[in-house]
Parts: sequence; structure tokens; C-alpha cells
Amino acid sequence: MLAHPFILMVLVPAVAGLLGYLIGRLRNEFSFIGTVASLYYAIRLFLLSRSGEPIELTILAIGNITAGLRLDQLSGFILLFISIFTTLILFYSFRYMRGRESTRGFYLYSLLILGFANGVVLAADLVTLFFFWGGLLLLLYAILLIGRGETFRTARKALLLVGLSDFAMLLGIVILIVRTFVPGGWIDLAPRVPLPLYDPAMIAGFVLIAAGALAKAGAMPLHTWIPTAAETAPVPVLALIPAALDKLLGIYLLIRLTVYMFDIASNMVLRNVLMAIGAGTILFAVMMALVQKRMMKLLAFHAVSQVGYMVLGIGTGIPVGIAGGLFHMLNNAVYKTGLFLAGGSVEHWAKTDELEKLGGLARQMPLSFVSFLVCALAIAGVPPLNGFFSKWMVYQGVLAVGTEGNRLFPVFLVAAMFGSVLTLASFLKLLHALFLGQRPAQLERVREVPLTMWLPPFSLALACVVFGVFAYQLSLRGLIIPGLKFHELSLSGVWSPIPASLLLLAALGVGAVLYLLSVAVKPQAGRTFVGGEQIGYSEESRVPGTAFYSSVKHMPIIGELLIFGERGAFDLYNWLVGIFRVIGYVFREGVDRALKALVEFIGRLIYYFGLGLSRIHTGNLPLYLSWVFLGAVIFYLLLFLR
Amino acid sequence: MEGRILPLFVAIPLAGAFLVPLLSKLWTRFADLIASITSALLLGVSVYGWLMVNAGGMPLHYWVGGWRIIGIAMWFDALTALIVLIINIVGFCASVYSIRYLDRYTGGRWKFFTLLLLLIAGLNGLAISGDLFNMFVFIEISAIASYALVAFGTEEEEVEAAFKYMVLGEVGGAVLLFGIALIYARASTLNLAHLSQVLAGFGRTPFYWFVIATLLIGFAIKMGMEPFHAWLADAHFSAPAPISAMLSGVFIKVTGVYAMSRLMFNVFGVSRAETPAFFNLLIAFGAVSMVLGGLLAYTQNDYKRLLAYSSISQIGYILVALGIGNFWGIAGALFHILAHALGKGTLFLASGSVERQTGTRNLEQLKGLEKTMPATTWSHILASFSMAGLPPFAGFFSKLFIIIGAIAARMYWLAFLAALFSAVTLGYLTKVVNMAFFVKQNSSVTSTREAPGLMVLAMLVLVVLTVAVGVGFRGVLDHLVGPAARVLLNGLEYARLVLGG
Repeated sequence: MLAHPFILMVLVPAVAGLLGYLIGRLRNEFSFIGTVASLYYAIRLFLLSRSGEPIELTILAIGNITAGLRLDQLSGFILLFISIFTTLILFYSFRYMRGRESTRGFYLYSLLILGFANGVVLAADLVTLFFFWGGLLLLLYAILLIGRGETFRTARKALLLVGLSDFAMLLGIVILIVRTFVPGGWIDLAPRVPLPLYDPAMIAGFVLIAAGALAKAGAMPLHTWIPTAAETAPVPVLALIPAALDKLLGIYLLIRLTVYMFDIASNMVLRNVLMAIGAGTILFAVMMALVQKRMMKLLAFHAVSQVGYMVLGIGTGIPVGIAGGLFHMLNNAVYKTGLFLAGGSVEHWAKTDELEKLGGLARQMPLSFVSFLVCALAIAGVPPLNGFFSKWMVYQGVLAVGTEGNRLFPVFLVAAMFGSVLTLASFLKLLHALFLGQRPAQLERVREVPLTMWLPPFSLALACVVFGVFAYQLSLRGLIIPGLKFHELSLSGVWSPIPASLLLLAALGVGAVLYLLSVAVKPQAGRTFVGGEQIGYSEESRVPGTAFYSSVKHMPIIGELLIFGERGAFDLYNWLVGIFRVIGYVFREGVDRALKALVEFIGRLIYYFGLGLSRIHTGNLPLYLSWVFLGAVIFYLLLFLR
Repeated sequence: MEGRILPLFVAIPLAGAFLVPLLSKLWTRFADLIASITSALLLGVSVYGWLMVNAGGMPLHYWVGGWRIIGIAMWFDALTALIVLIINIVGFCASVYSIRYLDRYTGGRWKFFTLLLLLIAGLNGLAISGDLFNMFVFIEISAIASYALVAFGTEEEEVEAAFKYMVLGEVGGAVLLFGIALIYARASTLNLAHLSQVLAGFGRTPFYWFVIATLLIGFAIKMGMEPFHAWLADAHFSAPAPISAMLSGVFIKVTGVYAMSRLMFNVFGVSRAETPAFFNLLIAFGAVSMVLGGLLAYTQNDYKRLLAYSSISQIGYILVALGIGNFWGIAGALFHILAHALGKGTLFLASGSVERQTGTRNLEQLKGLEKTMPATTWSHILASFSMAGLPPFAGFFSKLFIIIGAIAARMYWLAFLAALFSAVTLGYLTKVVNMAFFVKQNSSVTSTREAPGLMVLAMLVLVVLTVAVGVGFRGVLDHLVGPAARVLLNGLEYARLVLGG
């Protein structure tokens, strides 16, 4: 049984990681072997899963209860991408992590995480899944201890937040097991008939397990460890866990829950709750992202915001929305990993990720710039890139909810579209701050990063284009639709990516021609005559375009307004940014602080309660004896004198 | 089945305790050697006994002198097997650990090991004894040894703690003796099996309930249940670290929980269906202990005092699980006794290593020990994870069984409370991790070296067992904890087995 590819998917990376840890000099080689082997088996299993018949492997069979692994089309698809992303990120880290602290631990934990993540996806029932899921929690704690600054605080925060949701999930699993116990197994992740979703205990089980899945994916309000991790953890850790694997695993479990185990479409209230969580996450996280001053933290907030689209899409309960959510998960993992890695390259040279100290690197780091640009456009949802297509499917799902008579759908739709606009705005800022604008003097000597570091983000950027342009042919037919149980999707509206991209290319060509023409036409300088006398060139005679309408400023009222306007008072962008800043501020000061204060309050309450309790332990023996007497009286009252 | 090995459980440690003072006159290190060999032998005998019971499926018994019923009875069933294994695993680790740990104290080595062996003899004797009066005698032997051991350092604080412990402990002992006297006056027998048949003839009279309440008070003091807990924190805090590990990990559970369960389930024949009042009382007081103990632990800044309060909280878990009263609840309680003995044993030993190497236990002074004491740090972290109930460690499965039991009994609030206090446990144990081990800060109080090899070995044995019990939980449940839980669930079946065999 050990040689079964399912078992190997879990064991091989783990063993490679351990060997690399023990034999430190061959660390990179072992890591490479471990990930590539995992990738090889993942491809084999993916191809095997295309047949459509699930393949089972029983690990434990005790009486009627069996625990085992299973491969179906959905898990084949997720497995493939887990291995792809891990391979790319480890490839990147060979150079990035060189000479940093705790490299040994990093490779060990990454490979163990790969093995456990494979295990989560292969699990056939909730108990097996939880076994691997819990292992991932410990590994998350361990890997977050790596980095600079107060990593142990980050690790503890993540452990408590994710641990809390894991406890919730465990409770949910136990409720389901007790409620639906049938001879033949623990709770199956893909039962033949979906479980009913109107009994309160089943709904409680669903909600508790979904909470675990949402927390893993990073949806609000259990997301706060991700931005904290962005301050301390190295870039490959950020790219591996919050950007790629956590999304894949969290959304995988959510799809299992909503499509396979239960039928989410049957419960409108739960759908609304999921959609509200999704919409809220999109909007609030992107606002928080707008006001960030550090690149990694900004990207981390976007990693939270994008989860909103996936949850929103799955929450619609409409096939096209669910497929959109799943597709968005894949797309997000692609471009978000690309952004983290390309951004990491900048940080690698500049030794800082503070936006004020960066700028103007486009010429020196062209390949990283192009990768970052494409991924940024993709996350902002610019057609024909992949981010546009999946967001568009999510919108269609929300619209379809509207046709079912849901009055709330405009709110969700507006929130999602607004979030998209703000994402674009925040990435324009980021692009400007990193690659355009003025270059600070200390960055003059920056060069392009070596091949092993630019190739992973570049190939991800390429994937953004390919998944977008060939969305129907490649992504939907090949990956998404077989992974779900729906056979065909009804996509309404006309969007054909290939002609559109051709048009876009043509437009870009025309733009290039115009640009060349405009360069060819040089400004003409005439001679200036004053009173019949020619005066020479002088700086005074140059009229900059900005001063064209300067006379208008002297007109009453309008002039005042214009001066005002020049300072930016009428600039819609400033207004918007201002408003969102205020909302972000209120959110941070009001909600975030209030939650924090609440948590601190409870913590302090516990503390003072405990302190009060300690105070009464004065060490006074008669007092202690009187407690004993009190307890004795209670015992007699309860048992004897009833 | 006749069990000729049974007297060995008492004879070996008593012989060891006798030899230690004699031979250590020749060479002081004989004390170390005898204690380690004695506890290793005991561990071997326990494993052998367990295998016998497991293979034969029948309990072992031994009548001293062949006098049935009126003589001294010894009895070894699946529950006894579990308890003696726990006693002797932790006992062995404590003896090995003490060898280097005692370097802190000047002299008195032979006194320490004599007392430790007496403590172990008392606990083993209690576990195998089949009559009520012998149970009382063995409880007192181990209790008196523990009073002396708490005062071993002879500092003012330690002597004071030992005195309070002795007063409260003896109040408990006196109450127990009173209860036993009542029983003897009425039933004229002390043999557990015979007694259970006599009591069954009386029915559920007020006398029955009065005796139960009286005995419960005695056991509540021994196990440190709220509000009888006041001695526990001081005593476990002041004792030398290996003794704290014995007291917290083993003593309170054997003299408190085990003795109570044996009497209540097998002699008084309580069951969830017939006597719910008893079970509700356990749940109520268990829940209060769980909550208050956890809260008290949260505020402590002393490494060992924090662990001591944590023990009260974990005793609360065990009582709640017993109070649930179905198979999963009782199996959870017994599994938790095992997991807590291993985990809390490790934590107390780790605290001892830290104290020995740095000279302090104040968490506000300890900083950054992870660099110099990695083995201690990771032992503490893994044991903490087990105590907080994270998979795949032993503590996870005990809490899982308890939660399953609570849900199966439809006590959802209890399941919620148990899960919530897992988080609190994690909170206060990671507080230690952060304060003592990971904060990187210059401090005058720090250690440059890991603890000596034998001490690390003792911790590692317990940690490895914690992981092994967690990973192999299925085997542990089937062959060790499950049969033990059945002994309690079968209740009065006990008498038929003893007297029929």
C-alpha cells in the first residue's frame, strides 16, 4: 500500500523535506526532488482523474467505520495546482532564501506543508481531512516563526485565530457525525445524495465547518493574521501560504461543502450570509489596502479582498457563480503569487518594501516590471486577462440570484464592482510607486534579478494571459467544469475573448503608430517680434501648457473656484480617495479597534477575574478550611438532603 | 486467574526504599542506582501484568495467605493495568530525572529517594488493593511521603506549603476514615467485592447517599477539586520538580479520581440512568474546576504555579468526562488521565530544567531560552500542544472523546465549554512559550547550556510517549483505555468476577 501514488503524494515531499533538513548541504536538491516528484504524481493523478470515475483507497477499516483517500475530478485539479505553485515558489526561493536565517526550517516546513496539503485534498472523509488540516495548523505556526522582527507574535496570532476556527470545525464535524451516523463510514466528503440543509443541527454543522474553510481562505473577520504576517514573514512564505495554498484548500473545502456534501442552493438564508461575507470582505479589505504604505501589507490586504469574490460567487448557489468562484480561486492564486514574487524581487534588491523609498525601477528590472504589470492588470480585472473573466462570471451569478427574486442582489453587485474599481486604483498607485515615478538615488545600482527569480513570476504572468484568452477552451472546459458536478454552464451575454484580444492588440498597434508619429512631429519655434525688433530666444518666451488659461484665474468667483480646484478640491479621485480614507479610518478606528478592544476587554476580564481569584488565595489556612467546609455542606445538600 | 506477581507491586518499591538508606552509607550514588532500577523493574512488571490481562481477557487476583474475603485481597484488571502503567511510567522518568536534578540540593539524596519510593509504593498498593481499609492505608502512605517531599527544600515557603497541604490532606484522610467506619459499622465487611453485594441488598437509602457524600468529600480534597483545591497550587509549586510531576501527573489522579471511581462504580454501583444526582454533581464541580482553574492559571507569572493551577483545570475535564457517564465520556476521562500524566509530567520536568539552569521560575525574568535550551523548549511546546488538545497528540484524542461523549449525551453546552477551555489552555501555555523561550532580549537571567543529558532523556521519553499515544490512539483505545472504561461501566459485574473467580 505504501507505493500507492496517493500515499506517495503525502510521503514523498515529507521525506524529502526531512532528508533535506538532516543533510543541510543537499537541501536545495532534496527540495527540488520532493516538489518535482509531487508534481509528477500530481500530473499522473490529474490525467487519471479525467476518466470521471472516482478512485478510492481505504487506509483504515475498523468494523463499519472506514477512513480513506479518494481522487475525483475536483481533487485532481486542485492537487495539480498545489504542486505547480509549490514548485514555482520553491524554485524562486532557492535564490531568495540564500543566506537568510532559518533556511533549513523553511524548506522542511514548506515540503511538509506540501505533503499535508496533498493529504487534505485526497481525504475522502471529514475525519481524515481534519487530521491533515490540524497538521497544517502546526506547520503554519512553525513556518511563521521564520522571518525578521517579532515573528513569534505573528505565529501566535495565526495559531490562535486559525486554531479557533479549527476548534469550530471539529465541533461541526462531531455534530455531523453524531447526527448522521450511518454504518459505513465517517462523514463522506462526496456522498451519493447530498445531506439535507434544513435541520438546525445540520445547519450548525455546516456553518461551523464553513467557518473553518472561510478562515483558511482568509475571509473576514478571521483574516487579521495575514497582514500581520506580511510584516515579518519572508516573501516565499507569503506567496506559498496566504496567496496560493490557503486559497486552494479553503475554497476547495467550501466547494466540497456547498456543492458535494450539501446543496447550498436549497437554503436562501445561508446563501445570503455567504454573499454578504463575500461582498463585505471585498469592500473593506480593499479599502484597507488603499491606505497602506508598505507593499507586502498592501498585497496581503488584496489577498483578503480577492477571497470575497470567490465566497460571493460560491454563495450565489448558481452554477455559473460557483464555477466563477472556483475559477477566480485559480486565477487569484496565479496572479497573486506572481505579484508577491515579482514584488519580492524588488524587495530583494531594495532591501525595503516601504513605498516611499521605491520608484522608477521599470528600466532596470524590465522582466519583473512586465510580470508585475500583467498580474496587476489581471487582479484589477482588465479584459482580456483571466481576472476579468472570472469576475464576470461571478457578476453573472449575482445577477441570476436577482432573477430568483432576491432583493439584496444590487448591494452585492455594486460592492463587487466597486471593489474592482478600487483594486485598479490601488494597483495604479503601486505600479507608480514601484516602477514608475522618480527613482531614489540609493536604487541606482539595482539590476534585474537572476533567471530563477524572474522566471516564476514571468510564467505566472503568461498564465494570466493564457487563462484569460483561452478561458472557454482551456480553463472552463478543461479544469473548472469537470471539477464541479454541473455538466454545462449557461453563460449569458457576449464576450468572446479571442476576437477581443485581437482587437485590443490592434488598438495597441494603432496607439504605437500614433506615438511614433507624435514623436516625429517636433514643436516648431517661431521668431518673436516686439515693436518690429526681433528678440532672441529666452526662457521667458516659453509658454508651458499649464499656464494657458492663467488669465481665467483673475476672473471673480470662477477664479477662486479654479484655484481651489488646482489644489485638488474638485478632483473626483481625491474625493473618492478621501472618502474611502475616511471609511477606512472609521473602519479601522471603529470596527477594527472596537473588535480589538472587545478582545482585549475579554482578555482583561479573564485576567482580572483570575487576579481576583488569586487574591482570595491568601495562604490563610483557616480560610482554606472554611472553603472545604463549604464544599462539604454543598455535597451533603446535593446528595443526602435532597 | 491467579496472579503471583501482584505482591511485587508493593514489595519491590518497599524493598528499594529499605535498601536506599542502608547502601547509600557505602556509596551515596547507590541511592540513584537503586531508585532507577527499582522503578524500571516496576515498569517492567506493570507491562507484564498488562500483557497478561490483555492476552487472557481475565483479571488477575491474589489472596494473601489464601484467606478469601477476610484476608488481604489484591486485584488486577484492565483499569488497574492502566493506572499502574501511568504510575510507573511517570515514576520511572521522575527517578531518572532526579539523579541530576538533585544537584541543586546539598545532601539528603537518600532521604529523597526513600520517600519517592515510598510514594510509588503507596500508589501502586492503592491501585492493586481489593479491600477498602488497605486502600485507605496506601492512600495515607503515599500522602505522608508526599508531605515530606513537598517540604524537601526546607525553605520557609516550602515548609509552610507542606504544613498546609498536610492539614488539608489529613482532613481529607479523616473524612475518608469516617466514611469507611460508617460502612464497616453497617456492612461488617471491607472487601470491595463482598461489600458491593451487601450494599446492593440495602438499596438506595439515605445511609447510602450519606456515605457517598462523605467519601466524595475526602476524595475531592485528595484530587484538588474546587473548592477543595486550596492546598494544591502551593504544594505542587513548592515541591522539587520531579515530585511536582508525580503529584500533578499521578498522585491526584490515583488517590483522587481512580480510588473514587473504583468505589463509586464498582462498589456503590452508580450509573447515569439510576443515580443521576451523583453524575450531575461531578459535572457541576468539574465544570467549575475547569473554568476557575483555567482562569487562575491564565494570570500566573510563575512557571510552576501556572502549571499547578492548570492541573486543577484538567482535573475538571476528567470529572466532567466521568460525569457524562457514557462509554465515550468514561473512556475520555481515562484517556485524559493518561494524556495529562504524560503532558503535565513533561511540563513540570521542563520547568525544573529551566529552574535548575537559570535559578528562577519567574516568567517575567526568563528570556530567549530557545537558543540555548532547544530540547527543553520543544518538549514544552509539544507537551503544551498535547494539553491544549491539538492533533495528533494524546491530549487531542482525550478531548475529542470527551466532546463526542458530551454531544452523544446531548450536553452541547458542555462540549462548547470543553472546546473553549482548550483555547484558554493553549493561551496560557503559549504565554510561557513566548515569555520564557522566544522573546529575544538581553536579560541577566539566562542559561548558556541545555539541561544535563539524563534530565533531557526523561523529558524526551514522556514527549515521545505523548506523540506515540496520539498517533497510535486506536491501539491505546482498544487495548488499554477501552477495556478499563468497560470495567467501570460494567459496575457491579466486578463482584461476580472477584467472588466467582
